[in-house]
Amino acid sequence: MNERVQPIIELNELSKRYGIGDAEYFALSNLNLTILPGEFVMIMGPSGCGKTTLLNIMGLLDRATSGQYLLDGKAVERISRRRQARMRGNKIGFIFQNFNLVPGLNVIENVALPLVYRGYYKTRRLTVASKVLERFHLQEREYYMPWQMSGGQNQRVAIARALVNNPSIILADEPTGNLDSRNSHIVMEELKEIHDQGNTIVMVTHNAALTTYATRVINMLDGQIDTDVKTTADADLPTAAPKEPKKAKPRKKPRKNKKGKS
Amino acid sequence: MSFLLNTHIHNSIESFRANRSRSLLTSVGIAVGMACIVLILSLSGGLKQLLVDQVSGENGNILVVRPESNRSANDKSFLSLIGSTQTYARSSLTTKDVETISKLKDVKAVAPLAITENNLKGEQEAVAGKVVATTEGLDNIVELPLEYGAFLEDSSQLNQIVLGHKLSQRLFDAVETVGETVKVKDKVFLVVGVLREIGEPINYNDIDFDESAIIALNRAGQINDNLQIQQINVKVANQAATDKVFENINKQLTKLHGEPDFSVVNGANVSNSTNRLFDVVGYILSLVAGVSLVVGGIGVMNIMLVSVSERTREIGIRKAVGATNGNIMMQFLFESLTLSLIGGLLGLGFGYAFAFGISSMMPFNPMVSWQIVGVVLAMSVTIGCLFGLFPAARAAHKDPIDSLRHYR
Ligand SMILES: Nc1ncnc2c1ncn2[C@@H]1O[C@H](COP(=O)(O)OP(=O)(O)OP(=O)(O)O)[C@@H](O)[C@H]1O
Ligand SMILES: [Mg+2]
Repeated sequence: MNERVQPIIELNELSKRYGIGDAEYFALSNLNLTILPGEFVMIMGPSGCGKTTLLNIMGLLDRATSGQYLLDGKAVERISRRRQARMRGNKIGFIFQNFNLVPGLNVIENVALPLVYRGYYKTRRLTVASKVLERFHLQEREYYMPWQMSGGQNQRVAIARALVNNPSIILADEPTGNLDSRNSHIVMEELKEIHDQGNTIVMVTHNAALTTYATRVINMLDGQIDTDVKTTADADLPTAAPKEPKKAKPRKKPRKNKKGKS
Repeated sequence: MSFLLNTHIHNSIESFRANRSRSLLTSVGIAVGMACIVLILSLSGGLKQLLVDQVSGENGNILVVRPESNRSANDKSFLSLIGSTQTYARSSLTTKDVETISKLKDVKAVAPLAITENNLKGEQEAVAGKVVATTEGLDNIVELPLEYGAFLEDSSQLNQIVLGHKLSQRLFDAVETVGETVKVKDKVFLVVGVLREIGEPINYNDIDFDESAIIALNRAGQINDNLQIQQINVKVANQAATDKVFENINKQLTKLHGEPDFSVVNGANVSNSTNRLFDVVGYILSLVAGVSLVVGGIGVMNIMLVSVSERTREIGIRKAVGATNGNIMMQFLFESLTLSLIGGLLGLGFGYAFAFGISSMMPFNPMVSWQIVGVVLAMSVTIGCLFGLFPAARAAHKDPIDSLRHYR
């Protein structure tokens, strides 16, 4: 790779305070973290150490109390809530422990949901969503409702939804927390495949066995980073193939339909 | 950038379907009020049209002067509204007014109306009937086709009388009665004409000409020494001059009377005080409509609040995948709009069904017009927005993290 890569996420002295006065509590305190494109970061740590809080802030669902957050090089604090909502739709894909599919929508509509807020028309939404579902071998489940499917299938739908608009980064909060080991494995294989294609993933987990999938393992303690181990050199990180230029901004990683790395 | 209009519409219809029974019930709440409004507007519109047609003729060039006694001017209480049509203790209108008006520029014909109930006697026993004292101008203002004979002449030296079709039959068992004599209060009147049958149950100023006799105002003193002129009809030469004549009458009569104890109306608002009972029914219905629209609106608000809290998680998810507060706001506003619009359409249907049902017992048809549809749709939109605003704002301002954490 070239000498200097623009980090996707850069956190400087980030703090998050809950409550005030005597009830004051810092869920995150002066945290520094830089995430490069192509990394698969796993965040571990005891319950209540601030993993979800960190992920929510990175995903623009929450705001830090102090500190600086650069997403794709832009300071997030300066951006209006409206623009932040748009950025959530365009740059970030969420995967939750409890799947968080909209119960009233079927599989393909759930996957297409982020595209609604990009202003895509219905036919285009459904074609794009259908293509992504095909990748997850869920195309014959397109018109199932979420309650008609297993947890593993639901989580794969949720992953498809997180990928549908080609995000710069995928944030997953205990995506395997509600799944048995077999389904966990399937989901992890999917995530690995996505990562191999050049996507950046930040994932929170309590399962130390899953860290084998990661290129970097972070251990948190009391709102700070305790240990930070990179298992893959930055130069060996998978990068997005410049093929299939989706006429989006060139910095964004185009998703590939077929397996294979550059 | 599209405003996701299609999506919002699609969403709200889906959501209506998903909660079919509760949505429908909410809409029916709106529909009741809307039906009342449709009923009022279509029936009063139909009645007004009928009256306007009868009063102002094709050209809308008729003015009507009415006395305004203190009672009717100030006492607008409920009971006086129900009270009989036009029983003024003392009419402020005089024959002098009639003369004054007839001298005004652009006035083509003037016809005062002084109606009394009298016993008329023909060949057989006495018959009760309405005696309308007027001038020959009436023939010019109201279309009164004659079956036989001729209309009154003001200049005649005789006591002339024109009989209504049915009255003639009752008095003489015949229609061709020109030349006969009729006794009104022992005064003898010569029948000069008989009207053709009109046969319309709702009539010009409540006068059923079929059952009435018409005599000259200047002869009416013989049978009633306390003659009250209930109104003066004025026909203007051309429609363009109507406003000018309107003003002139107001000016001249005010000068004459010293105070404006009368009112001048034209065709469009002539029906206002013609049927007060109808007005009262209208007021009551509007009250019902207003109250039930507010109640219906609160129903919409209520159901929307339920819907917002039921879907807290959905709101969180939508925000997480890129929905702005505005997007969420619009989504729920469209939902409440759907509820109230469907209510409005139902109300339109119910209202017209009712109106046509009622009008089958009435002599006129309900007015069917785009204005009524427009009013209903506009009110539906207003109610939907008004009562949907608070729930939608509440949905829009939900915190995404709290919403995502929300379990049900
Ligand atoms: N809305 C809130 N108000 C007050 N305190 C909060 C709030 N949200 C989180 N916290 C606190 O912040 C700390 C970090 O919470 P967080 O959810 O980030 O933990 P976590 O590392 O994700 O834990 P787990 O592994 O159990 O999911 C906790 O001590 C929690 O009590
Ligand atoms: Mg957590």
